[in-house]
Formats: sequence, structure tokens, C-alpha cells
Amino acid sequence: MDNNTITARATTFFKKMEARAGEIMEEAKISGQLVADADKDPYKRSYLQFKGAIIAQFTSIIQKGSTTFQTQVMPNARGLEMIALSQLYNDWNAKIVSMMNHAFEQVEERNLEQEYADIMESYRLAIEKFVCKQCGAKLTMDKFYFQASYIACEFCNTQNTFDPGSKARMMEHIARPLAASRCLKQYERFLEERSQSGRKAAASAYEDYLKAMIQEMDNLLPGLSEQHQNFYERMMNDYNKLGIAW
Amino acid sequence: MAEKNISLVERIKQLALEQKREEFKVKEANNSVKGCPQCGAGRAKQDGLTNCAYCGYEFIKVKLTDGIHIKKEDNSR
Amino acid sequence: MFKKLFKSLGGNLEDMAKDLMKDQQQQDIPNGHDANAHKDQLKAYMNGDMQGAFEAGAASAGMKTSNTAKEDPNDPNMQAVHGISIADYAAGAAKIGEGCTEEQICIALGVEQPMWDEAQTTWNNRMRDDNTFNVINVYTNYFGKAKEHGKLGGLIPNAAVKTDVSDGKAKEHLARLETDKHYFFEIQAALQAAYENGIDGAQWLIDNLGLTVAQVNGTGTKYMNDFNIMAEMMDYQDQKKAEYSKRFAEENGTGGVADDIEF
Repeated sequence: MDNNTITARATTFFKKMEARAGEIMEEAKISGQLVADADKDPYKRSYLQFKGAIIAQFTSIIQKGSTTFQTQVMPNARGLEMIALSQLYNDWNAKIVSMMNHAFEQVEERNLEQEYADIMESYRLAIEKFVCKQCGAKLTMDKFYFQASYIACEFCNTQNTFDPGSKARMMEHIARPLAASRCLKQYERFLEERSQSGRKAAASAYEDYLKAMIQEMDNLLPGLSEQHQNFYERMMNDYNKLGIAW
Repeated sequence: MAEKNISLVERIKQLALEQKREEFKVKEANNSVKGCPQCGAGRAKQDGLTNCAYCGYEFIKVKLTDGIHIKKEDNSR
Repeated sequence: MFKKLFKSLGGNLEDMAKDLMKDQQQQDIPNGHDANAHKDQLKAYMNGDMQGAFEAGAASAGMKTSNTAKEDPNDPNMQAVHGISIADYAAGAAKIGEGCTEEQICIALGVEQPMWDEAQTTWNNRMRDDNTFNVINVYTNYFGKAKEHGKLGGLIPNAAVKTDVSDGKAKEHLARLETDKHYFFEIQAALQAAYENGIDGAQWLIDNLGLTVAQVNGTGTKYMNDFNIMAEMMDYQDQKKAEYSKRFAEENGTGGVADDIEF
């Protein structure tokens, strides 16, 4: 092949860009997990910072490839070359996007079950020593209170203001992803159904998944079943009217 | 001026791990009782949260609604 | 959050509007859907009224925008929670974002912590569960007007962020953001560029402007509510982002991922 043809040059160029993206992906896979594990921020901001910057690198590669394709490759292509080059570019683009996703697919951003266990253990230890501030009797907590609440003393009936602390409050933040992770089976059944029979036919499998998820959320955040029911309805509405499965 | 002899990904990892932020303020679990500042009485469940049952002092100026655990019944009569 | 709407929009204004229309036409028209809204949308677009086209488009999909959002006193989603209205909650959230403690907010509103907590959860979930976007639009409008709130507007933060930027300078930046839309979009661009180059943008704001993200975004809700302004400023924001990105890349060694690869 003549190394100066547009096709030859484009092929070399996109191959090099792909190799560069591959290097970023391989390194990001390992570093990503290291950062996620080391990140003690409750909102995982350091990991998200890392992820955002890596994605920006992929975007930059895609941008350069796209600009080069549009301004230098296509304007100089002739006849049938244009079809082959378009295919080359599209395949390359899809590959880079796939690498970008692949870089983070296997990274465990946070160990939700461990965090949940930590929250519940801290809560258990905290409430063990709580007594009514009026009469000194032990305060009975009938459930997990994830926010400040009034607890009436069983003996003197005085309203105590109980604040579970910042760790327990994190439960609201992790409830949904934790619930979703516990319903993986139902989710996968929904995905299978959707790929086999299409969106409308998969609606009942999606319903099953959502019902299971909000059941879990009810257990994690006691007292919010009405609000979780509204959440369920919002999700079903988005699925049926907009075709979005969040 | 940034070092040139480490990889891009390594550099990004460094930035993320060395990032300084406002410290997240950890609040420990705690429990308290609000006594009436006027007469010293405590608030019993059956008397509601909004007014002191003994001297009428107004603890809370707003009307309680049916929330999550707090209910309308928690308004003092 | 309006940024999400514009995130996928590249290209020019006309292409954007045409895509909007194409999507509308391709959607199945659900029951009770307002077919007249399609006509309104087309009419607005033809008259170059992008704000109108955007709102008509949203209306035809049963969604509200910041201008069409309604605070109907009979709407169950608009009921105060323990006396904490959506205006109270939004202003409270803005002031907390500025550095006020929850305790300050509770005292100013005359409520106790458990009431504020329940209101917070309830309002957040109402926004999460509302597929018309009405609640979130009403909320955002009040968030941007926090300083006008009778009880909360004038609160001085007890837990303001630590910064080397003087109070005077920070106030100057805030005032400029409120009145100079070019400056607001420049700072939005700087924020994006910071994250793309591996820096915490929120911290950059604190270190350089002496302001929090909540404060910055609060000044800009009026710009974000106006489709025409958003469309007008997009190119300027992109240009500023490229400038900041170049600077941050040089400072942090995060640029030039494929500079050595030539076609």
C-alpha cells in the first residue's frame, strides 16, 4: 500500500490513537480501584475527580480524532475511499467509547454492604448507652432512625430529641444504590427480557425489579414507604412514557 | 511546574489523592431533652411538642403536619 | 441542573431546535397529551422565539420549565412540611451552601432539628419523584432568591468555608456574578475545566473566589432559566473553557494526551 494515500495515513493515525486510548484504559483500571479504595471521603469526591479527569482524556482523544477526520481526512478523500474511511472512523469512535466505559466497569467505587454494616454497627453501639435525659431510664429504639427524631421515654413519657449522627445520615445517600445492588437478579432478568422481546414486553420484568428495589429501600429507610411508592410510580412513568430505565 | 517523568494517569491519580478539601464535619450520635425555659417542665408525648403543658410557653411557632415520624397529633392542644 | 439539558447539544441554535422538534414528532402521543402544544412549538420556532419553543416543547411532554412552573396551594406536592414551605427549604439549602449551620436555619425558622430533617427528606423526595419537574423548578427559583427570604436572607454563616480570599473580595466576586453574565459563564467554564484537568472545581472556587458552588450557582439561576441567554452564551462558555483548560493542563501536567500523534 502506498503510505501516502489518505487511507493509509488515516489507518495509521487512528491505530496510534487507539493504542494511546488503550494505554490510558489499562492504567486507569488499576489506578481507579486504588483511588476508590484510598478515598475516605463520604461522597467519594477524590474518586469522582479521578474518573472525571480520565473521561476528559478519552473525550480529548475522540475530539482530536473527530476534528482530524472532518477537516483533514474527508475533504481529501475521493469516491469509494469516502465510504471505507467513514466506516473506519465510526468503528474507531465506537472502540474508544467502549474503552472509556470499560476503564471503570470493574471498579468498585464503594463497598456498599460494608458501609451499611458499619452504619448499623455504629448505630447499635451508640444507642446501647442512650438513656432518657429526664429520668435516666434506658431509651428503647424500636427501629433505625436515619435522621433526628423524637423518642418518647417508655417510663416518664418525656420526648427526647435523638440525633443519630452523620454516619447514620449517610444511609439516605446510599440506600438506592445498595437496594439496586441487592436486586441484581431481577435487573438482569429485565435486561434479558428487553433485549429479547423489546421495551414494551419487558415492562412487567421492569416492574418486578422496581418493586423488589423499593422493598429493600423500605427496609433500609423505615418510615418512607409512601415516598418510595411515589418513586416507583415516577420510574414506571419514565419507562412507559419515555422509554428510560434509570 | 508539573513533573514530566510520570504518566498522565499517574499524575491524575496523584492530584485526586492529594486534593485538599474542607474537612467533613463528623457529628456523633447524641440525645437531649428540651425543658421549658419558662417553668422548667419537660415535654411529655401526650402533651404535644409545640407548647408547654404547664405554662403554655411556645416551643415551636409552626404547625406540625403529618411528616415521617412526626404527626399532626404532636401539635399541643 | 439545566446544564444536563444542554450537555448533549453541540452545533448551532437551529440544529438544536430542529432536533427538539424531530424528537417530539417521533414520540408516540400518550393519552391526554396536548397536541396543540406541538403547533405552539412550531409557531414559536418559526418566530425565532427559542424560549417559547422550548417551553411549548416541554409543555407538550407534560413538563414544566422555570417560567411555567406553578406553586398551586392545592397541589399536595406543594404543602409545607411542619411549616417549612418550599421557599423556606430552598432558601435554607442555599444558606447552608453558603456556610450557615442547620442550627442557625432551625432557630431562624422557629423549628427544631427533627422537623427540618423531615422537611429536607420530604422536599428532596418530592423533587425526585415528580416527573413534571414542577417542584424542582419552583425550588430552583427560590434557591436563587435566598437573600430575599425574610427570615433567612440576612443570616451570617457560622461555619463559612476557610479561604484566604478576603471577605471584601469574595463579596465583590458575588456581586459581579449577579450582574455580569459573561463573568458567570466564565466561572462555569472554569469549573468544568478544573474537573476535566483533575482538580476539585469546588475547592478552586473557594481558593480563588472565596465562594462555594452553591453561592455561585445561586447567582446564576436567572441566566439558567432563560433559554435565549443559555443559547447565546454557549459559544462564549466553550471558548472560556478552552482557555482555562489550557492553563490548568499546563499547571497540572494533565494535557496533551495525544499531542505527539500526527495525521
